[in-house]
Amino acid sequence: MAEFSEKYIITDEIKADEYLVNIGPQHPSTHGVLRLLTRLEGEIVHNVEPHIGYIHSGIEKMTEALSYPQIVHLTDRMDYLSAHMNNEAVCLCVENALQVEVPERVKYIRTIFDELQRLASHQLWWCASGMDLGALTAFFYGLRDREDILDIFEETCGARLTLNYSVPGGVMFDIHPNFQKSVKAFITKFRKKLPEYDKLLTDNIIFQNRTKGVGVLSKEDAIAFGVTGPTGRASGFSCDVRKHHPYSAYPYIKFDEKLGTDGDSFMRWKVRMDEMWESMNIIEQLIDNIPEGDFAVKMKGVIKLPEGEFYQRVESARGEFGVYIVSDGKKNPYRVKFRSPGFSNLFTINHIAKGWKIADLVAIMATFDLVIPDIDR
Amino acid sequence: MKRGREIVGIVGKRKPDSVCKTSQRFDRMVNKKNKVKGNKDIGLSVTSRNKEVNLAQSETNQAMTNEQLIEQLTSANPDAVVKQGSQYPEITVAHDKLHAFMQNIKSDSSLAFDYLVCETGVDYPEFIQVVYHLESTSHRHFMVVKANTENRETATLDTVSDIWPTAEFHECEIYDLLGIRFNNHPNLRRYFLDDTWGHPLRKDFHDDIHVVER
Repeated sequence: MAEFSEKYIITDEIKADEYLVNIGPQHPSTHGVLRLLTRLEGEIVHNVEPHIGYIHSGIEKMTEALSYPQIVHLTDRMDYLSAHMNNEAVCLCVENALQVEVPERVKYIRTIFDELQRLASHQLWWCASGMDLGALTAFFYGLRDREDILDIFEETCGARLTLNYSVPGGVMFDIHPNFQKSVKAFITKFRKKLPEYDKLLTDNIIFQNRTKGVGVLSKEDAIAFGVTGPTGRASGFSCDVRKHHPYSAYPYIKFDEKLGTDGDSFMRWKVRMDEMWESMNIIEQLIDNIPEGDFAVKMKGVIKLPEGEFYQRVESARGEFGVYIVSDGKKNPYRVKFRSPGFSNLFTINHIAKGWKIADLVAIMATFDLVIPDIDR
Repeated sequence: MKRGREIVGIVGKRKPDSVCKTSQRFDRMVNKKNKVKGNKDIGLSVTSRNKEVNLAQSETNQAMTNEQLIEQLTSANPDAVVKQGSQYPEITVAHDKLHAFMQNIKSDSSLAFDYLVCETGVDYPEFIQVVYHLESTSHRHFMVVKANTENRETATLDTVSDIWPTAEFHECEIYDLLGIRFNNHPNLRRYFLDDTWGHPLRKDFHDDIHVVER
């Protein structure tokens, strides 16, 4: 190990009344192993410096020794709450490079899974950030409803968290005979449950006092810092990949991109709550119309990409997820880069948390919806 | 409470509007009753605002096709290599002209590449290449910029973190994993690994324990 050196700790001269506090690496509100080195004066935050890399697993290096179908299995270890979107991104990238057209049925199934995954992710975000702000009941409500989605996943593909359902050329198995029935039952149920979420937190005056006007991110800053997903859209930055660069079945359906204008913590909250309604609308448009046909096209045993560079973007639950593959024509990629939404989102925190109290920093963190393996990769 | 306001004032190097919001918030905390009354209409205007924002965007939406983009870039930068990549236009810029070129494509109103989607590096035998994926949020066109370092041993490039703030963090990651030093970078430090490691994404990196080679 390297010797302890001060250069990692102190990046700026500390003034008389200031002191340093480490939030994390093990802290409930950081949602994982993330260390925020905060410079405080009393309760007021003067500077936040995120230190990451505690669970850096070198996925980009690992992929250089793996074949393309194997890489898919690594991607859901990054953002485990958007597992299916990450899988899909690699699959789409490989399919585009080989110019393989997947059957319509696959597009519909993938899109329904995307939105179910987004719902599950937002539910977990809702309950965990409720807990960050001191509302423990939210945690039980959210996990209770998320269980139904995980059961649907388990029924069709056998996994609950790391799905690995998408493969280059299609999906791994056909949907379970009960799939449509259970998804419809879930939506009917969740449409009744979601107003409870609003009643419990969104309309709660204590909650509103803690979030409204807190941590404002302007639209210009959101674009400059590359903040995407619901976090960026709350600032009015229209960045929905589903809308601007539609993939899978998104071109066939109608949905609204939820945009806010205030860019404060409450608006970030609101945009995610609205996205849950929108996800249910999208699923309802698709679930009765899944076309008959194959669930995958036959791919070669060893997939070799043509020489060149390929970039594929998808909208994960956290923002724009990108896969950049450089291929030299062999069965392993020459270089793979995953553009993770959390990485860009995290580093705005210093910009917007300055001047707020330390409890507001927790509120800002909660509405950023960070997943640490997504940042560290 | 007074003490709190003073401190907010000192920190007030921040933008005036957010300082204002801070003090508004203090007022709200005091006048809770007013807050409860005003509560309902703050509730949810997300969807209604949505339409206005979309309208505003469609007016400015004059995307250039890839061919137009290539044409304009070629005429403006005669010594750069411009070609159509597998998906997007790609331009390779000389390392000493990188910063001026980047500044130009951001400020030029017909290009207006204001959103740096992704910045990464690729190790090649003679040089290390830094790849910038850029999008314009007003025109919605997309482009890839590449810059090669002079050699692999003393790999340096100019930073673009003064043009797009997000580059500051992507460049730290590139420095960590590929060992490219960025000139004029405000705070270049290793994000993931400590100093005992080399730069793992370089092709000549060997580690018998941690890296499986096939």
